[in-house]
Amino acid sequence: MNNQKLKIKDIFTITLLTLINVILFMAGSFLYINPITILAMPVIFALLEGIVFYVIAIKVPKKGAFLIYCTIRGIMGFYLPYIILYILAGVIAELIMAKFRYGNSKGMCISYIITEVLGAIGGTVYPYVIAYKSFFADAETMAAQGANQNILTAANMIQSWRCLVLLLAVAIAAFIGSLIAKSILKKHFLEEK
Amino acid sequence: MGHTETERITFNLNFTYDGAKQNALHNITGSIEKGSCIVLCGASGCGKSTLLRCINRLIPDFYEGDFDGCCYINGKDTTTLSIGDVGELAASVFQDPRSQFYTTNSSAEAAFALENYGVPQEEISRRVNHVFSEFGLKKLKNRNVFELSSGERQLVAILSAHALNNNILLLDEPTANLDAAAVRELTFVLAELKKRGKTLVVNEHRLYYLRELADEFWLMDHGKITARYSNNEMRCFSQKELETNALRVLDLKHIKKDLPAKIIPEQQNCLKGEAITFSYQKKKDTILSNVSFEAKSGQVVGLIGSNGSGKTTLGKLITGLFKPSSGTFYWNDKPLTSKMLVEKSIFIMQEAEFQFFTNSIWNELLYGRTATPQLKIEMEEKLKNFSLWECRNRHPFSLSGGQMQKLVMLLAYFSPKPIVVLDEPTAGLDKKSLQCCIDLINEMRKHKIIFIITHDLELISKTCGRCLCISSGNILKEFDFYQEDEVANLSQYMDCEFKLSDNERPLQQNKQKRCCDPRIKFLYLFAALLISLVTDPVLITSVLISCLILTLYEERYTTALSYALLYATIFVGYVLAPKSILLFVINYFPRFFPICLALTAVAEGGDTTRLCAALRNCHCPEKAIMIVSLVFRFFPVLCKDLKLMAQSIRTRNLPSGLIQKLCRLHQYFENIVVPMMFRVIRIAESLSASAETRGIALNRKRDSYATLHLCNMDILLAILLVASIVFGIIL
Repeated sequence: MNNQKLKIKDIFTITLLTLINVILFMAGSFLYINPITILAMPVIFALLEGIVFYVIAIKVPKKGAFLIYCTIRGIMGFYLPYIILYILAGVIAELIMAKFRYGNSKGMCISYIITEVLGAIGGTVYPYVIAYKSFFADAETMAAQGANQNILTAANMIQSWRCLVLLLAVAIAAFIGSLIAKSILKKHFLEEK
Repeated sequence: MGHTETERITFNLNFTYDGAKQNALHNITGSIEKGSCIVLCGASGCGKSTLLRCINRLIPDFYEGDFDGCCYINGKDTTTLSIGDVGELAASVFQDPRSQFYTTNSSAEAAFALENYGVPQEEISRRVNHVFSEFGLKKLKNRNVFELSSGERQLVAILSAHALNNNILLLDEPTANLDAAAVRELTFVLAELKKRGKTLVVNEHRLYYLRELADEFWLMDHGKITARYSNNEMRCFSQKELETNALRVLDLKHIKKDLPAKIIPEQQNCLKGEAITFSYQKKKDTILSNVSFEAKSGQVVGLIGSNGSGKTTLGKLITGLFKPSSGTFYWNDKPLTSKMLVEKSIFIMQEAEFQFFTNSIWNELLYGRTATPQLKIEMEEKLKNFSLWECRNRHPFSLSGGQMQKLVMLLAYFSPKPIVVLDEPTAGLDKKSLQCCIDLINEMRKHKIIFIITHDLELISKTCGRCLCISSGNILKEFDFYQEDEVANLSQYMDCEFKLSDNERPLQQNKQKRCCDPRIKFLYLFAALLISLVTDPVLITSVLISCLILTLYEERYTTALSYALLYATIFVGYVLAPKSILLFVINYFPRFFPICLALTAVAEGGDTTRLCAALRNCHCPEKAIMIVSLVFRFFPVLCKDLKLMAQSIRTRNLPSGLIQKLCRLHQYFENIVVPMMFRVIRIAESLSASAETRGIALNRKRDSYATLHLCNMDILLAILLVASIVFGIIL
C-alpha cells in the first residue's frame, strides 16, 4: 500500500461496499411508517453500519475513501439536507483520518460517530422539525380535541433541546456499532492476513 | 527474445505474487503466431491464469508482485504500456460472465471499451451493429443483461472484445459456467473469429470443445510450461495419459460409464414429488408445471436441462427453499411441508462464497454441530483427502475458487440431513478435484438421497444412476445409466435437444417507450430535492403534478396512478378525519413523492446508457460517471444476493424464525453481512480487472454510444416545471 492514490479497483470496492449499507438502509425504511420509529432509525443504523465503514477503512486505507463512501451514502438517501450533511461528514472524516493516519482505530471510531450523528441530523432531526413546525400550526387547535399524545410527545422531544438526547443516543449507538465492527473485523478480516 | 515487427506475441516471464513464497511463473518463454489458437491447460494453480494476466498486463499493474521479464505484442513492449493500452492490442474475456459486465445493456457493453478508447460516436454505433449481425446474433443486441443466460452473456463478452477490432483474444476459462448448448454456440463464434485471422489464447479445463479449434496445447505445471503438444499429438493421447497429466477428456465420446454398483442402504427412505407446479407470483410465468418424480436413499439423480430450464428452481423446491404453487412432496409416503423439507435437506448453491459463516474451514464444518471425537477423526481424514488439511485454519474466503467448491461439498457430506441437492458442484474444477468430488458423492450416497444439477457429462457418467431431463417446465425424458449405452444417448440428447434460446420466456414487449431527455429529468430531480426542504404544501403539490405529467409522458401509467392515488388518499383522509397522525403524515410524506417520481424517471429501469451519456454531456468527471453506473448496475444484483444469503442461512438451519432471529440478531446480522462483503470485494476485483483491460483508466476524450437530442417536448416539460414552481411560490 505504498501508493496512496485511489485506483479503479479501490473505487469499485468502496462503491460496492457502500451499496451494502444503502441496501440495509432501504431494507430498514419500513420504519418510516410510524412517526415514533422514525426516531429509532438513526440509532439502529448507527449500530449496524459500522462494519462496512470499518471494512472500507482497512481494505482501502487511502485518501478519499471516506469521502466517496459518505457521498454515495448521502446521495442514495435522496434528501437534500441528508446529502449535504453526509458530504460534510465525509470531508470531516477525511481531515480526521489525515491527522490520525489512515487505518488508525481511534480515528476511524471518531469519524464513524461524526458521520452517523450528522446523518441523523440531516435525515431525521431536520425533516422532523420542518414537519413539526407546520404540524404545530394546526396542532394547538387539535390538542383541545384530544390529539394523539404519542406524536405530540415525539414531536416535542425532537423540537426542543431534547433532540440533543437523540443525537447523544445516536453517538452512543455509533460507538457500540464501532465496537461490534471491530470484533467482526478481528474475527474475519484481520486473521485472514 | 528478439522483437520483430511481425504480428505475434512473444514473452519471457518470471512472476511471484505479493506475499507468496513460490514463483507463480518460472522463466516461461514462448511465442504465439498470428491466427493460431493456443490452449493453456493443467491443474488448478499451475499458472495458466497468471500467464494470461502477464500478457494483458494485469500483472504487475493490477495484481501486484515481483515481475521480471518482458512481453511483446505485435512488436510493442508491453512493459512500457498501461493495462488499457495493452487492451487495445489484445482483448480479454474472463471466466464469470456475471461479474465482468460493466453495464446493464448488451449493446452498451459492446460499446463500453470503444467509448474508453475514444472512438467517435458514429464509428462506435457502426461497429456495435456490425458485431451483432456478423455472427447472426442480432437477438442479443440491445438486451437487458439480467434477462440473458450465462451462455448468452459470455457471447456478448466475446462480441464486445471482437468489436475492438484487434487481432488477439485472451480467454480465461470462458466455459466454466456454461451448458452444452452455450458451449456449442461459443465454439462456433470462436471458430469464426479464428477464420478471420484472430489469435486465440484460451486457458481452460474443459478441453473437448477446443478439439477442432486448437493448434497447440501447452501443458503447464508449477509455473512452467512442461510440454507443448500439437493438436494431432494431443488427440492421440490415451485416457490414461490425459489422467496422469490431470487433464479432462478431449472428446465427449470417450466418456465411459463408470458407475459404482447399486447399493441398498440399511435405511430405505423415499422422497416423492407429486404434480409439483411453481410460478413466481408476480410474473405469473410458470417455471415448472406438474412435475412428478421419486428418489430413494442410495440413489444419485442428475437434473439436466439447458440454462434457465428450471433445474435450480426444482432443487430449491426439493429443499423447501421455495414453496410449490401446487403439488405435494412425500417422505416415506407422509406428506411434507416446505418447513419440514428444510429440516430434512441441504441445498449447496453454485455461489460457494454465500455459504460460509465462520472464520476457518475447521469451524465451518463444525458450525451448528456438536464435535464428537469420531466426527473430528472423520473430518481430518476427508480434509486430507481433499488437500485442505494444511489450510484448515484459514478463512474460507481466502481460498481459491476450486478449494471453496470442495469445501461446500464437504459441508454437504458432513451435514446430518438425508437429502442433498448440489447445484453445479464441478464448475471450473480441474481433473483431480473433479475426481475427489466424484469419490465423495459416491460415498455420500450410501446414506443420503442426492440430486445433482449439472451440465458436466463426466460427472454424470461417474455418479448418477438416473438422470431427469427438464425442459419447458417438465421432465421430458429420463435416462437410466445402469442400462447399456445410455451415456452416449444422453450425450446425443444434450447435443440435439439443448438450444441456447430454449428457455427464453416471452419477453415483455420492449416497445420503444417515449422517453424524455435525461438532462431534463435531472432538472426535475434537482427541483424535487430542493422543494423537499420547504413546508409550503401548494408548492409541493404543484411540483408533484408536473412530475406526474412527466411520468405520464413517459408512458409509465401505473406509477403515476399509484402516486396520485396515494396522495389523494392521504389528502382525503386528512380532510375527513383531521387526526394528528394524518396531520403528521400529510406534512411529512408528500414532499418525498416528487423525488421518488423523478428518481424512477432518471433510473430508466436500470439502463444507464443514456444517463451516462447525459452526465458526460454535462462535463461530469469520468470517475463520478463510473460510480453512478456501478450503483445502477449492482443495486439489483446485491438485492438478489441478499435473498440468496437468506436462503443459504435457512438451508444450513441457522436461526431462521422471527423469534430465533431476534434472539440471535447479532449473529444473524453477521451471517448475512460478512459473506456479502467478501462477495462484493471479489466482484469489485474481477469487475475492475475486466474494466481495466477495456481501458476504463485511460484519460482520453470519450464519445458516448447513446445520442441525445433535445426535442420540443423536452423543452415543453422544462417550461412546465419552471411554471409549476413559479405558480407554487406565488400562491
